[in-house]
Amino acid sequence: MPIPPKAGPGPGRIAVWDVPVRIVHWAIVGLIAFSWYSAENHMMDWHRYSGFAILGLLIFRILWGFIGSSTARFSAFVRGPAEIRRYAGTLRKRAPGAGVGHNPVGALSVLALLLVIMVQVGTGLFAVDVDGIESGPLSERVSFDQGRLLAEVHEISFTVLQVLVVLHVFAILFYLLYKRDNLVGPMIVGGRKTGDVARGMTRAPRRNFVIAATVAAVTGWFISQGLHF
Amino acid sequence: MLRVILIAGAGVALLASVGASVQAAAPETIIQARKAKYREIGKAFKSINDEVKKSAPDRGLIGSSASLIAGNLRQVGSLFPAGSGPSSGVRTKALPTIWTKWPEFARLNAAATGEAGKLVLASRGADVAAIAAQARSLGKACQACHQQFRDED
Ligand code: HEC
Ligand code: HEM
Ligand code: HEM
Repeated sequence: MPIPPKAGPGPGRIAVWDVPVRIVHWAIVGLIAFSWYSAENHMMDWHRYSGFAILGLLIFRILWGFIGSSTARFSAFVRGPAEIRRYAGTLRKRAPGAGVGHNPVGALSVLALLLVIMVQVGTGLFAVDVDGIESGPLSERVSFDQGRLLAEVHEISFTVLQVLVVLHVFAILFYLLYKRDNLVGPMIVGGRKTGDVARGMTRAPRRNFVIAATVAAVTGWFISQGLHF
Repeated sequence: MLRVILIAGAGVALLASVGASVQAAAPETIIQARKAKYREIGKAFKSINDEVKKSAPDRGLIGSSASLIAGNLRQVGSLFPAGSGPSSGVRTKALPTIWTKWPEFARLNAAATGEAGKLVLASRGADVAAIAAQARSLGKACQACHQQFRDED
């Protein structure tokens, strides 16, 4: 049930990201930092709670990719190789893009980040430490050696995640400094001043938010409890 | 008869001491042996945690795993002779401070062995929450020693 594009938050702004996308983004940033900190400092209870929160946010973001606002939808930003190549050709142009939402190249980084966070959380759910003391809630379903293997994948995937985050931040800096396009502003306040008004974000109905949030919370909760019904 | 027993006893003691010095001469074997003991402990601990996660845990399995842990911890206490640390050149996570602070190390090992014994006892009762709590106490007792005396990764 699409609602006509609205002017963004504040006068003269075009809506780019809705509130759920922004909250999920910054909450994930904070929680990943905390997951790292808590793992390094042997606070494994907190590490698990933090991971469960990320799990819930991730499930929500994936559902939101299907029933969320226009700029959150995978169908809006996942593009084929031809489109990606065409956009990549324009990357050196020193001007803000007219598009609203992810560009075809940025979309690759979004998908890669979401995928690696999925691997991170997914392996964490089954991981077992060398002592058999700390483990994810689903580890009873794997043997000790399988759990150790998944803990190793968990470590490798964290390294990959760190690399992707650095690239992500460099890309944003590149847009800011070279293309004079501030992407951080819209990710905080939701809208931007320049761009094609007709392509502004179409907000999803509130009902969709309630559905996605409920499914994410319930699924996340059951997984964190080890899927015992 | 008594003399025979005494002589035999002395012979056994002599053999044992030779055995000990042979062991001491080969830190490699000792370090491998203690790592193997600890790995058994780690696997047993996972079986305990697996059961604790279930709604109807197998208390017999928790009890036998806990007594394996207690038994191995007792044995492992004798698998840290002087010279079996990193100075031996063999790959080990045992920190040299084990030998400079031996009483503390021995105390932590006795404490963990005690917690494992308490878990054996707890597993005989039907109180699953109490079993889970005792498993956590045992885990903390292991980690207390690892944080002080075991090298990080
Ligand atoms: C008194 C100290 C102490 C206690 C108590 C203790 N450990 Fe350890 N543990 C060590 C040390 C030291 C090492 C390193 C041994 C080496 O690398 O030579 C070790 C190593 C290990 C290893 C790794 C073996 C390997 O593959 O490298 C496991 C698993 C382990 N401990 C599990 C446990 C568990 C589970 C408990 C509690 C039930 C426990 N430990 C209690 C001191 C202790
Ligand atoms: C995006 C989220 C996560 C991040 C960034 C993360 C990161 C890390 C890091 C850096 C370690 C330390 C690895 C080491 O030193 O060996 C670790 C260990 C661990 N994590 Fe996570 N983790 C995340 C999610 C989770 C989740 C959801 C769970 C399960 C509920 C989990 C369970 C574990 C366990 C059991 C270990 C110990 C493994 C070991 O010591 O070998 N993690 N994690
Ligand atoms: C743990 C670190 C981070 C992760 C995992 C992460 C992940 C993501 C993801 C998945 C998106 C897509 C948003 C969506 O469609 O839902 C995104 C977008 C964005 N992120 Fe991050 N991010 C991280 C850190 C940061 C930081 C530190 C900044 C600020 C400097 C930042 C700024 C942005 C911006 C501006 C966008 C929108 C990009 C665009 O306009 O296409 N992110 N991020």
